[in-house]
Amino acid sequence: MKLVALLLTLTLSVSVNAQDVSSTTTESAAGTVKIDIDQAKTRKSLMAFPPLLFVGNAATTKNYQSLGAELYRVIFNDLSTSTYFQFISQNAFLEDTSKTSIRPAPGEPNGFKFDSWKQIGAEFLIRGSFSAAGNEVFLEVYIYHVPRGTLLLGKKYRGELKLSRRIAHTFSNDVLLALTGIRGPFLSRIAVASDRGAGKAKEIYLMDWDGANIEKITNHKSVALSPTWSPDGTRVAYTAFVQRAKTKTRNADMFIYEIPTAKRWLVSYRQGINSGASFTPDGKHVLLTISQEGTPDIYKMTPEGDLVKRLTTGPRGAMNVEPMMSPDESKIAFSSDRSGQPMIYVMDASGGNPKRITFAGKYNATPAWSPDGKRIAFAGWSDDHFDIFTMNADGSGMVRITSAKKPNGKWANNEDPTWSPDGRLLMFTSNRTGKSQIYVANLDGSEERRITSDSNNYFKPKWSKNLD
Amino acid sequence: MREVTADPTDSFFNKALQVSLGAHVALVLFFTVDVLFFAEKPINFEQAIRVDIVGLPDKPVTEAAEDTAPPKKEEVKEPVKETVKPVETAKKEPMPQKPVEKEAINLDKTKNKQKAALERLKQMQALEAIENEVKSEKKPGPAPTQYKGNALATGTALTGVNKLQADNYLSDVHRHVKQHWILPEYLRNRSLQAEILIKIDQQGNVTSKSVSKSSGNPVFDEVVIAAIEKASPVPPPPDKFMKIASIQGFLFRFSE
Repeated sequence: MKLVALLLTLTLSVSVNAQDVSSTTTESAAGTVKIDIDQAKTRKSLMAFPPLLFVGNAATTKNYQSLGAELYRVIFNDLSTSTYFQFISQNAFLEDTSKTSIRPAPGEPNGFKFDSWKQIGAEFLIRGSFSAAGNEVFLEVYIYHVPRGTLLLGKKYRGELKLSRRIAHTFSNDVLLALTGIRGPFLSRIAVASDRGAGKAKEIYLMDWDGANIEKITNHKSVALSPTWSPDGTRVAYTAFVQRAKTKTRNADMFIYEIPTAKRWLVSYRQGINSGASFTPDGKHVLLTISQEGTPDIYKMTPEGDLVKRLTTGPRGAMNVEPMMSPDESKIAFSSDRSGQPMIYVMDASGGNPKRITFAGKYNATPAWSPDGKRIAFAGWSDDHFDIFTMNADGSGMVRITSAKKPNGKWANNEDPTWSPDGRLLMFTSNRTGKSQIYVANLDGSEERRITSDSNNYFKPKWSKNLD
Repeated sequence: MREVTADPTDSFFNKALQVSLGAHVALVLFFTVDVLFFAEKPINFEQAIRVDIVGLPDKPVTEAAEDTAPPKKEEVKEPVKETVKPVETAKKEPMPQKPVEKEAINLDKTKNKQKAALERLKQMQALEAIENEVKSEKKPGPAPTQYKGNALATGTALTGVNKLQADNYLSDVHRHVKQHWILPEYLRNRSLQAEILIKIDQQGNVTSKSVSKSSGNPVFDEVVIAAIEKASPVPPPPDKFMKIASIQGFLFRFSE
């Protein structure tokens, strides 16, 4: 019996091997041997980025150094977060870039030499200059492909001084578009709940993807939570515990705030919770959890507040929360404790056919579809703490993204994942410093970057789509 | 101990022995018959619930942290050029032969000669050690433990020894070149593909390479050429394969 099994495996492996060889090496009719080389390993490209040259009038421009440094820092941070580049230390530069032009020699008097960048192995070189006059800032930037000695992209930007970060982000996006064909995500924003205001109140804030330009958009002076973006980035839906005038009790009601008009309206204010909202990809509906029937269930409604459909019913009093529709609008991911422990489920967009997709761990929550709809990120409870994971939309191929300890040696919680608009980064909150702060990591969990650096707490960040 | 069978008059003991024997035989018979003729009923698992306890996966180890360290000035000033020359097998000196002395034995002279010979032997050993070191340096890094199974299992003998040898060789080349196939991150997810025809000599050196089908992206084509340059020398071809390798060449198709 054993012998038969052994023989079987042998023949099996032989046939598999034979197949593999034939797929990688083939002989065409002409007799040429073809060999397929695929599954390339990848590397980052070496980038040289000298400081931006100031070409304005130093006597009449106040604080031009700090302006130049800010423009530089924004571009540097954007491009190093993009995962495409590795920056060459400025100590390694062979050229004094304060004395050469931002255009190459020959053709430019005092131009820089490609050779001095080739020698240090640079694949790309960014040279730029800036000036400011009155209330305006000017930025002229070029990115060169050093080995070929060619210009990839050259642009001049002009805008109000207060928009200087926006100008820098725009250049970063242009670089990625020129190189990869896909626009960078650096003009997107974050909506997040935070206790950063006075007192214990939690309000909703908006900020740039890198944590700058933070602004408060609610003032309920209670607890506001779970903000979410409309697909066009003009509206933010959220839930706040607000006091009922008649009964003097607080109820978790759902609001929508429209950013350009600063309008705000109540969308769902049924008795109990009205929370965990997310817009459908077409922006025409909102999915949320309402508990008016006694158990928390998922409903679909219009942004104006008209109930369209109840999508889940129990079973047996189970809760169904955190709905999010897939980008192709065919499925809805949500979490439910119908099996005893909260787990991730996927159902049809119309509400039927729910299917459990996580079986690992004890507690899995906050599913978030990747922009291409292929993967789902979630927070999973293992070894007494939450970590961020991603998996294929059917639950296979699970990858752990986070694993961090607090200063006291205990495991930190990493929660509430949200994808960058280009799907190349994951943002989440982590209490590894003792406070719940915002972080960004690559999809393999490498290169974690801290976005907020203060002593406040941030909860449930949501990354918008590109807003440029 | 008292001998139990010694006393034939102990009828009680005899009787007990017979009863015991009979009982044992009956028991053995019963179980034999039971096992042989009455098959055991299978245990019903239908009501059982299978429970898998599955842990969440570990975080993958990445070397990105090391990668981001800025290169040192000294290191990058002069990019290290990889020599494409094969390791030349240094000529080995013939072992010193013991001098045949026809003269009368001169002890001092012989001793000196012995000493010199020993010295030479030591030198040769040192040379050999250096040679080996160079060889081991030149060897490509350890092959990945998980290849996609294209190492042909020996013993299939589907189409003759020659074919087998050729397939083995090609999968060696495939594995070797693949190690050098490293693409800049920004060129990924663009479905780029290029074909390049290479010819190799007896030592495996790439003697000619030409892009027969461009990817349309000049940088991608350059990365492909660089991969071939780095991969040279490839494993030397078996003699019977020499003609194809050096005249017709191999067509490599590089894709993401």
